[in-house]
Amino acid sequence: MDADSDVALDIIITNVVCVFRTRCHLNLRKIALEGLNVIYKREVGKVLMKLRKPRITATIWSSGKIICTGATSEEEAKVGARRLARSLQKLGFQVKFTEFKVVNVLAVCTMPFEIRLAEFTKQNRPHASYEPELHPAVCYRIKSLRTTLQIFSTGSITVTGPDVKSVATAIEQIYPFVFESRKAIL
Amino acid sequence: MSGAKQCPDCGSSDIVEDAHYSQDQVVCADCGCILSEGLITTTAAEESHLQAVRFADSTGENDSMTVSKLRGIVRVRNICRVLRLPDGFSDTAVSYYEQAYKHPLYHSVSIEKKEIIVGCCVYITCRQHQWPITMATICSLVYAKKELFASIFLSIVQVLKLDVPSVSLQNLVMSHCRSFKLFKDSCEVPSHYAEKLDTVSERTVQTVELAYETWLVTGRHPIPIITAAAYISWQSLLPARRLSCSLSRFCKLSDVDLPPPSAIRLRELQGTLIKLSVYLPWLKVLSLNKKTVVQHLGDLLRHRVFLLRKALAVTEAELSRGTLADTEAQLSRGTLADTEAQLSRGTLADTEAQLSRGTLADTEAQLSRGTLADTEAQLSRGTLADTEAQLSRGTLADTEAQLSRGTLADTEAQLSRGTLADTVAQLSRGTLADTEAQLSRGTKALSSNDQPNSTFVFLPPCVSNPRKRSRSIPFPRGHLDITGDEDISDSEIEQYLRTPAEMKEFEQALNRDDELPNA
Repeated sequence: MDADSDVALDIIITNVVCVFRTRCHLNLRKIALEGLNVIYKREVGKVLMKLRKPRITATIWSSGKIICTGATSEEEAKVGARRLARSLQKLGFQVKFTEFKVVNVLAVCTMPFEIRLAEFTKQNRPHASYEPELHPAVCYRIKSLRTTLQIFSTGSITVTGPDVKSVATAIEQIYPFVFESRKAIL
Repeated sequence: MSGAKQCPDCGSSDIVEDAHYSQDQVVCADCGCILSEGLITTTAAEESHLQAVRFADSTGENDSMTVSKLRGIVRVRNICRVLRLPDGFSDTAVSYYEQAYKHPLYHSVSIEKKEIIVGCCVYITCRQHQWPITMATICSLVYAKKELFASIFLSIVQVLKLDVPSVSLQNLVMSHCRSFKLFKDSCEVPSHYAEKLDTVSERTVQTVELAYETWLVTGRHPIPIITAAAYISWQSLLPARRLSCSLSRFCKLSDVDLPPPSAIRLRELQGTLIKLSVYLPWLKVLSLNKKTVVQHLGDLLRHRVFLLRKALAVTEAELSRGTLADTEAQLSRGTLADTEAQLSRGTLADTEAQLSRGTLADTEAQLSRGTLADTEAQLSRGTLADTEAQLSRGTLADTEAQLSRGTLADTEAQLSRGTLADTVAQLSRGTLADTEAQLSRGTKALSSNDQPNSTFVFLPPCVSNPRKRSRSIPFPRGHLDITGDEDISDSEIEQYLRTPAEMKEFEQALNRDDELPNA
């Protein structure tokens, strides 16, 4: 095995967070009364609403800003957000679907080998930080991509980044480094 | 003082000190020019007339110490002294504290956090000098919660752009062993429990190294592992008297906290030792359990490099026993040699009989001799294609060659009609079916268990016994064709909204709830 050989790595996207604005104020009480699958958190001033298909959870603020979490792709997030906007429209608000933006993507990826974390940290020190007293994973930041990777000794890597593309690029970038410090036979 | 001075106004050197009211002034006696005011800049009278000069201004430095900064620095130095750190450490720590103090991120934070910043500076200094100390120690010194300390530590490292090397495990083991009361000379415990620090800590270091090599340390909190290793090492030094002492009792006697995961770590460590003990010839005959294996810890540690190599080599061998080379050799030896031998004898009946009997039986035997491991090994190298190619190419070509060289046209015709077709058909049928069956069996086994030899290989415990179920994909692959811009039908939307009737009921229910407390 060597680092350049084509290894197909499955990157599973587990969460996509997106935001959009409705350009109108929302009466949270009305949403809470007339919507299904809602939780009204009066003390914080927000409503949580869950959609079944796609399976997303939306946080609705009275200012008209809405945050959707739980989608597994950027497209799915957009469908979910639009469905939510339509639901609000049905409730009688003057909703416009604007400023849609994917803000955060979380993905996992499993390397086909185990990783020696101590060696890996030693070789990539300014970027990688490994505090076994705090967390079992090495935290590796790629500033240029604005992504953070959690690298576990089992070979699992969790990536968070601003969009799917940067997450995939981050995995590509990290692969040669983790490959170097994979489990070595004595 | 006044003798050497000259008046800047008239050039006279007759300068006198004069008390004007309570204020001392230096005055030229000739012209009356005031050269300088007294040493005391302000008086009580002046201050009361709101002409106060701040102490900070009077010293001439704009950024002098504030009280809180001074307090922080003193605290840093005190902590360094409490921990008995070498001399240079406190200066480094203080400089980090000053940097952090200046940073706007830590300006308006709670006192608790400011205390933690003090601790962080000391901790970072220790880490940079490879001084073994844990966060827990610092946390208890500054009375901080672990989580808060962790978050501030990470942010300080990032903000001050510091480079913090990881703790040297060996140093940590040594320093942790030092804290065990049992290993100190002056302790009142039964004499068979007391132990010399040097011997036990040396053995603990080796045990921890062994644990490190067998993936028990990576990603784990080091202290529980060290505690478990120290316990095992201590037991092994006098097993007859100490095997009955439990881990919790050991910690209590040593006056050390027992971190909860160390029991699990102990079990893992014992498991590893049992696995290794299989390869020591004089331990092979004994059936060891996790209690008795401790007695042989010394032997295991002495030969640990050999044992690890051996264990890995055995695993390797298991995996690669009967690889493609083997199979090829067997196949070519079996099938082709047989075919050649039989064909050169020249009789049709013989050939047919031998071929169908020998070749097929042989091939099947060879193939079925290949175990699951074989098939797995083959799988990765694409044996199916190879075997197929080999068989068809080798057998056909050879048979043809032999036939055309040695036998009559008749035989050739018959052979090519009967035997060859038969052989190829049988071979391809038998072999392929077999191989496929094995492959599918192998594949199934592979997919159900990615690490078939987990009993032999050393792996992170969470890999060999995974607690989490494998991740299921919430949406089938079909979701890939979502573009995000599809039309959304009204019926879809309605399932998320209440009907008017439901709304009415809901409102009534709400009202009832509201009334209940009143009634």
